[in-house]
Amino acid sequence: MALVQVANHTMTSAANTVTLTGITTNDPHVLFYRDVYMTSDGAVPAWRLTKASDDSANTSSNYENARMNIYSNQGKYDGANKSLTSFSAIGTGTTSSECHQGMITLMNFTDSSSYSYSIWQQIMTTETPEYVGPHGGGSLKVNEAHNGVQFFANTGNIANGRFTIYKVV
Amino acid sequence: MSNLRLLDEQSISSSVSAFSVYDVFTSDYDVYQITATDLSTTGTSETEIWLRFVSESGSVISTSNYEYGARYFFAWAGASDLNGQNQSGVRRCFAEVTDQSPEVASSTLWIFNPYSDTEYTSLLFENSNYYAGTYASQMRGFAHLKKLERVTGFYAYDNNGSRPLASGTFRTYGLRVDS
Repeated sequence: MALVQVANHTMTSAANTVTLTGITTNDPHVLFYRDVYMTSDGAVPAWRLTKASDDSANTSSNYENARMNIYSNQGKYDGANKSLTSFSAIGTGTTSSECHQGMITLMNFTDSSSYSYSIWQQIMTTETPEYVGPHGGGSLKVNEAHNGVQFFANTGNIANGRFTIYKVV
Repeated sequence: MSNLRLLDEQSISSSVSAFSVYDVFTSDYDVYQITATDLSTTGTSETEIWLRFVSESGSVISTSNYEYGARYFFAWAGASDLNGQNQSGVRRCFAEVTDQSPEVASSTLWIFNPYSDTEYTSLLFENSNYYAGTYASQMRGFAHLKKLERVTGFYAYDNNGSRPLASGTFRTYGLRVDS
């Protein structure tokens, strides 16, 4: 498998959103993110897809997902949602030892006549702390071309994070 | 050119109960992929293959700082959980169970932040296995090393030390970030 970088962003100060664009072909892409923690304890990192037409995030209620959250201290939890305005992770902490990392495979992004799909594998430490590994996926149920991903905090800001998108060739 | 660069490749050449790969994690990368293929045992007694990390000083980290969770998926039954808190290694990270060839096991790991001493080392793992002439299984999970310490390598070991590994190839890749 070859991975060719198409976008990268390293945060240097807290921000409510982090946007990465640069997907221009319908090949699968993989977004790696690491060291993501928040300014507010328990805040949830979430993400939306950006429209190829104007780089803005699609905020419609068309995000659907299903996921299996694996824990170190308890049995797994299966979750699913329809008609949300984003995909989301789990609340995390405010330091580098309570942070998120993971990889999100981005599928069928530039085809404007069908839906776009995301598959994620994540490793996170919550503010409790608990140790969690969500595995899941979802679709944005809109016939629209997308060119990237926008991360945001459900409350407060994202304090830190490094984000890179690679094309699978 | 791919941003995923092959850094190291090593194979088991004789029966061993543990296999170490040193000095593959550096400040050059913060995400790595490890593939382990053709993992098999000497003889027909199957074994689990676990993981520990190797510190910057070259010693295997066996303190009770590993935290992990995973799901087993069995061809002959349903799925179930694997949980571990404050453990001395990551259970079944490289193989749920492997056996004598041709019943080999294979796995893929993604390692995050091993060379950082301000963040925990974290990993995602998946493996696929066949053993005892009957059982096909797959696993996927995650683990943390809850220790703010630089990690430069890894250590694969069979869980009871008496069912040596006959074969296996470990490849380590670094995922380059162009700033």
